[in-house]
Amino acid sequence: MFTLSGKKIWACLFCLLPLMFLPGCGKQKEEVVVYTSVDDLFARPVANHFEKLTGIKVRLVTDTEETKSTGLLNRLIAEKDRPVADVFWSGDPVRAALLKEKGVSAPYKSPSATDLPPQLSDPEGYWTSFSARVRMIIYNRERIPENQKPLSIFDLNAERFKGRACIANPLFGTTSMHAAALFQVLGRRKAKKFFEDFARNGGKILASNGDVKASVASGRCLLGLTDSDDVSVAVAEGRPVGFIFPDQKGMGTLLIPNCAVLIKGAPHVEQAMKFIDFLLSPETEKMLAESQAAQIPLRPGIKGPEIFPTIQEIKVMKVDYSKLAITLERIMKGFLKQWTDKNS
Amino acid sequence: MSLSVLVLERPGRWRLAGLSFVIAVSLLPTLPLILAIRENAPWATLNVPGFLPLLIKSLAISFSGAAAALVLGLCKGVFFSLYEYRAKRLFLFLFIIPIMVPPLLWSVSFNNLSFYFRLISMHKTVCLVFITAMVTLPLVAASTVSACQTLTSSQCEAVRLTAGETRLFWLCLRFAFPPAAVAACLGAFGMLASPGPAMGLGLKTAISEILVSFSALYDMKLASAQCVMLSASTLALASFVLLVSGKRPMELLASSSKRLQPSFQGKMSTLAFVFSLLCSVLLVLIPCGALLFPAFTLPDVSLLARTLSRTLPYSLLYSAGSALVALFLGFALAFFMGRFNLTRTIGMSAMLVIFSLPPSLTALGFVYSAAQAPPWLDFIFRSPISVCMAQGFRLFPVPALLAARYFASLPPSWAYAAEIQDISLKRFSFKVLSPLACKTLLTGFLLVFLLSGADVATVLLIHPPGGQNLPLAIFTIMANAPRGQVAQLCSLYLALATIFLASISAIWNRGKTWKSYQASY
Amino acid sequence: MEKLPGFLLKNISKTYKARPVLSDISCHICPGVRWGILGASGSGKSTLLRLMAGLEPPDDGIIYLDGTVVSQGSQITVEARKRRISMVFQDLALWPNLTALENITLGLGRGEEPLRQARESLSMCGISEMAHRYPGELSGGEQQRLALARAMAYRPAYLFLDEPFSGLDIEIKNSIITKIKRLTADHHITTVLVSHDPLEVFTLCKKVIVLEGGRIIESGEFKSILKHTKSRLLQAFKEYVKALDGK
Repeated sequence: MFTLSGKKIWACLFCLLPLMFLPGCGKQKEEVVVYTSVDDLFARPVANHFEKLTGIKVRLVTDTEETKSTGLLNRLIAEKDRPVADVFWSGDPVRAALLKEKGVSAPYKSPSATDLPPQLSDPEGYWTSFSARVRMIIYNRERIPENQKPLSIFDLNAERFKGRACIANPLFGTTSMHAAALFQVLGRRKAKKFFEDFARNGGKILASNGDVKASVASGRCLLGLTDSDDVSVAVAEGRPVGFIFPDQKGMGTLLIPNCAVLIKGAPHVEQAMKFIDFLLSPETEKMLAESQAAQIPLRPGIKGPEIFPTIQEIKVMKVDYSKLAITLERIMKGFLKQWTDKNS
Repeated sequence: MSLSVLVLERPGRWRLAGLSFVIAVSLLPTLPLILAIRENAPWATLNVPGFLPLLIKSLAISFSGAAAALVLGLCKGVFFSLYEYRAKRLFLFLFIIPIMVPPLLWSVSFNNLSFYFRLISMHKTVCLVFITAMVTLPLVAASTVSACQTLTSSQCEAVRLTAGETRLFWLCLRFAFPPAAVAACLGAFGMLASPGPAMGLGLKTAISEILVSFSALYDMKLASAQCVMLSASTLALASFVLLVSGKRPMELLASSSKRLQPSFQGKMSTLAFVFSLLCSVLLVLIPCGALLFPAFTLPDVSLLARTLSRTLPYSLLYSAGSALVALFLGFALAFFMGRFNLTRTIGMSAMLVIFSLPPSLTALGFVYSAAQAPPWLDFIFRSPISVCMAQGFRLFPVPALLAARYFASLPPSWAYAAEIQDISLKRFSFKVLSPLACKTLLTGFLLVFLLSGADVATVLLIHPPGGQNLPLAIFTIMANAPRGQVAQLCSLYLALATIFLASISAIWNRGKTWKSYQASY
Repeated sequence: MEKLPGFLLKNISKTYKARPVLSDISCHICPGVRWGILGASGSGKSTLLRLMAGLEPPDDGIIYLDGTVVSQGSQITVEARKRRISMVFQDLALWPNLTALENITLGLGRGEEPLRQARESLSMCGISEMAHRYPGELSGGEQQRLALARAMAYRPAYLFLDEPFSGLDIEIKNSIITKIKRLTADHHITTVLVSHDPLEVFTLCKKVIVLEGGRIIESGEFKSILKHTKSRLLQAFKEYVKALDGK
């Protein structure tokens, strides 16, 4: 017979309490805590490989898409006074620059970075770039014939694509970075005109780059702006999509390198530096290139993803990455917010 | 000196003090962020003219969804209370599913529906109203059933005999309306605080604007000010609803006399079955199907196994831990509320407001507090305990409502009898109150267990490194993982929740002891 | 006067939510007699009983028990558990998750002696074979007897009965009333019965206090009150008896 007395009930409840402490126990000396905004699918294998090589346990904290939650960056900023993280592996330089501005990061010039292009990293060493994504135009191959495919981002505003072009929410992620880059490169007037023309042409603002990919692949939209890793996933899934690097005869396309950031006051500094050295190594660039992320190595001589050319073959926008965060902050609270409010 | 049992029945300022303490404890983590807005108050940048229309729009959407849930949930609850019909338990389980799943996934489901079945393509606002209705309906139905339990068999038989079955049904609907309306508000406020569905559908709402302040502008002060505005409007509306509903919402908490027993009633039982079937298909099975349909591809078993082994212990830990915290706080609040109108009104209003607070606010408050706290407190602030506390502090209104109903259902004479027989409060609680509270404890535990699993935002911000749970793992890969993989993980999550539900149900149904004294209670 | 044995109530008033329930009640309930408190529904009978039991404080007035102040103003100076009273409530207040025996021993404590006392009490009330059953498994009459057995097990000086016979048929009611008479006489227990049924009070009690609108309108020996009653309830009762007699 099943009976429950009051004492048994309270005993059951109190017995469960100590379980809450268990996962906190057994902290290893050799460990490194890595926060990353790179997709879990791509970051975890890299972390696992580092563990195998060095024996240092990697406690990985990944992020959701920004449009789904408050985000890891807020956590980093909130923890500033007594950080938990040792390393922040950022998917783009803007967040890395933001952390520098907020006093969350510390400078570290890794010996692994000597052969990485310095113009893509922070001159003071607060963040170092490696393996990059690229902004691309994805289009539906079944709906757009080869001779009519878009070649420039301005083609999103073309009459023939009226109401059928899409971009992700420019207040978040790489699209926001792209917007800031356009303001920097084109100037305020032309950049504003691009967005206004996009809206006038019936362009759609979707929740995320993933939604842009899905929308173009399904044919709901004919073309859109997204990142190379989204394109790579779509191609791998066999979706009927084509892609181009926009403005190869003009301003070029935006390069979005990953960045390694050492957190100021990191609890495991030595291990953090080792992890950053590993991140910036040719081995990691190769791993990321071979993964579904299809990240393009910044180093010459490392084989990139099959579907994309090498970085040297792509014309990239001439952007001052260290000033991009300031530009972004300015337009975010101004034009971009108003434009998104009006058109979404 | 031991406390008298009569403390259960006595009013006093100590109840107000206790209520204030419990409410203060639950709001404590949000304090750092709320206080931050005092310095250089961002009211000027709040852009009230810009935010206010969004707030109104969000409230309109939430309340439309709540209204739909109210109509359907009332009917469902009354059918459940009055009639026996086929597959009743199965329908009951199906109705719980929408609250088991993070609300964002329902927007994924609707996006899938329009992707795979282009004919079914609803307007975004309609979708969001639909999702709100789906998630709110179980709460409304549960409160309707609770309210109907205050009716007696003889009351219903009398109406049946004199006025007929339809009239009985209509009277029960009217009778259960006030407490069901409060439950609908609770659901609406919960959805107000959830940015996922709106963002997933690409719809601008107040909470998505708050998310922008957090994630795009990194403006904590502005986000906090917007949260305060959202909560203030929630409080105003909650007060209005409680005022208009009168004393009847307290019947959500009222005492039960002899329980109404459902029975087979020919046509009405058939109607109940058909109604439940239609609701289950439209509001549960189709959205579930759309969510899980992509799962029908070849699974990557090793990836699923690795993800599950990594996340399952933390999934169980966070859910169980937050359920425990919520139970303690909820019962404490209910105890202090007692049977008195003033304390009940304060308690219920506080519950509605707390439920409407965005999870991010509490979570970030924890993170700030952890950073300021000395390292020796890390075992609380930087461990799974902090996740359990943060979720428990937000979700405790759910067990609090159940506990308040339980306390209100205890006849005052029990405490009087115990006092006369010189039985201490401690002994009375252990021997009499706790065993009888089993059902309430279990139900509260179960609900919070499921709801906490759906709260991804808190876990993301607070979980100790390496301590992901399964829902968070789904969210971190869903951007780029193949649809099939995401759907398979969602299926796994639903399957685990179902197993858990079934186990609890099996435990509850065991034992002669329960049935033998349930007849008289 | 305050040193009188039994309960002495002086100018007792009680209000619930601005509605006066009892107004200026003064009376003396002497021990050794079975008392009835009679009145229509809402006349304040159960409230008066609860005040005497120490379960609630009066708003005004003093209650003495055997010469000691037990409640004064809005204070309870002697708690209910110390007044040597037992009470059978209208809804019986049986705890449904405890067996009949456990319902009695919960307050008596653990050990052989309390167990023996509890069994004896069950036997006195004729339900010793029900010891291991739950209240939900007992009939109405058996539940009443269990409530009575629980009250008697504590060897009280005063036994308060708050409308304990509601819903019972006349045969069972009479049998329980007979039992109460015997037990209270054997153990020298002063009984106070609250009821709206003059017949119950007439059968069990020798003296009566009649309440109407929260005030005592008459008190004393039931038979003598009945002859010249001012109470509407007792007048109606007399009419009813006349009708039965055919007069």
